Amino acid sequence: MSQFFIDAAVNPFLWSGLVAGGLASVSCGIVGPYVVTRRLLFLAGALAHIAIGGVGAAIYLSTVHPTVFGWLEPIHGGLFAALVSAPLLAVLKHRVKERLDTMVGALWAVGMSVGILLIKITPGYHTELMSYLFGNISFVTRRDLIFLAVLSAVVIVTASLFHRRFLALCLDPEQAELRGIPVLTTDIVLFLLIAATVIVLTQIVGLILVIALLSLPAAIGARLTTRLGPSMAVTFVVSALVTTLPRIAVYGTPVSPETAIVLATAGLYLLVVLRRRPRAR
Amino acid sequence: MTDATAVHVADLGFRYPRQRDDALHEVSFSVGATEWVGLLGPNGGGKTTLLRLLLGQLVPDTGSIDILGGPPAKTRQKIGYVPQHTGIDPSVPASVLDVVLLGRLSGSTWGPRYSQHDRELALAALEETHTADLADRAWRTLSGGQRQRVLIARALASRADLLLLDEPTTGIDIHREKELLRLLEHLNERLPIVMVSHDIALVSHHMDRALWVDCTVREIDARHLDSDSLEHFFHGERP
Repeated sequence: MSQFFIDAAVNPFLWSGLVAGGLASVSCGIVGPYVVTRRLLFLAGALAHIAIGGVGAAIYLSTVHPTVFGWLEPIHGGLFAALVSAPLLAVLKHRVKERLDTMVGALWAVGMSVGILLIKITPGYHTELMSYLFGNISFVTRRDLIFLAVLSAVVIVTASLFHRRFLALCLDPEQAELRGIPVLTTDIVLFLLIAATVIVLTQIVGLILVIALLSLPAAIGARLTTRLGPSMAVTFVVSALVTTLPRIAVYGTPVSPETAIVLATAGLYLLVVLRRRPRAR
Repeated sequence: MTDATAVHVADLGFRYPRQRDDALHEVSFSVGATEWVGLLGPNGGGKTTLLRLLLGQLVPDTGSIDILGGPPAKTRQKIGYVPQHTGIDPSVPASVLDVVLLGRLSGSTWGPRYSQHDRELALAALEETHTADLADRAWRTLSGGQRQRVLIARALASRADLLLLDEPTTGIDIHREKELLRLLEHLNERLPIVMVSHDIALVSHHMDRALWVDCTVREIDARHLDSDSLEHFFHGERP
């Protein structure tokens, strides 16, 4: 563990990884509780996997047409695909009464397949896909940090503006509608925030493992508190801890930091679940 | 419709999409501004459909609904609705006050916090329903009777001018039911109430009028209700 701090003195990537974890914890702390309480985890999973289609498209375009799309980073494609599919999934959730899981599952698989197909037909070997699938917290650049900071700021501002509407949807959508809240529009905004958060978390643990970080800290927060506000605070703290400590603990070992983050989060969740829930007052 | 009328329904008809028969057919009735009216009827007779039409969640195919001086879509924020089964997920981390504050929502709700005025109204509503001591309790820890009272508090917090209740006494014990009915009697001194119920004795004892809802609506004398007098309604033919 001490080796991490010795190396951090000369390797700025180690610090930028920690900062990335902190930024991701902000989004995770705000959006995770909405996802868990509104039971949107499956839809969030679909967003993460549809984003792979966008990652594939960005890699293909920037490689095959470098003069036009040379500036395009894979994460831009992922963000675009996630933001475009977010309203679609929100509309499906509201309009499709039967077989919603089948339709969402199909979109999930199609998004991923398109991504894999585009990467397959892109000339050359593309290691960056693996970074987006499994995360790459060890090599977060300054540009990545700015991107994460902007997305986190968007999440904070939007959630502040919409918090009472989101809370109403989490608690009682029928009552929210009767009180004049446009439920579908509010859900579309929430899904866009989830899409942005999925992309932020991708930098930390990758698209495949993003669901763990989006759900488990929030589930821990929900078990330890009786109100959504404190639940968000606990989720933030848990996210900050699990994106920091396991990464430092496994530094210099063969265990990848991304895997350590997810396993530590799952272990913490298990401990909280096994612990008897305190009598709520 | 007069000033003393809270609800006026005229020649209302409604059919669900892809259904052959009307769910409600030529329904007409009024509810006075000081009345407590019971909606009785068989399962599937259209009571919940009628409530959803009154709330503006469904749009009539024919006829008209006037609630508190306007169509439901425009006036539904003046209606305090207490559902039979609350849609509130018990696993959601929320306090009783959070639930009551939902009554203060409106289309112009923005920002992270409710105003002091909203909180005062919510606390006053809890006080009126004798649940002020529950304000900080987690919603998931409440009993069925406590939940119904809190949902009524939520309706009151919205400054409702009409209460619509869908079987509020279902699943609560006789002692809590009596408390709830006393509360509703007290509220009926200033609010009209429309309440769905299957309990003939309750309707007969507490309400001014009763309406039998079975595709159409027929007025019945609430004061002389018993299961024998309702027998012929159960065998009545649909139009």
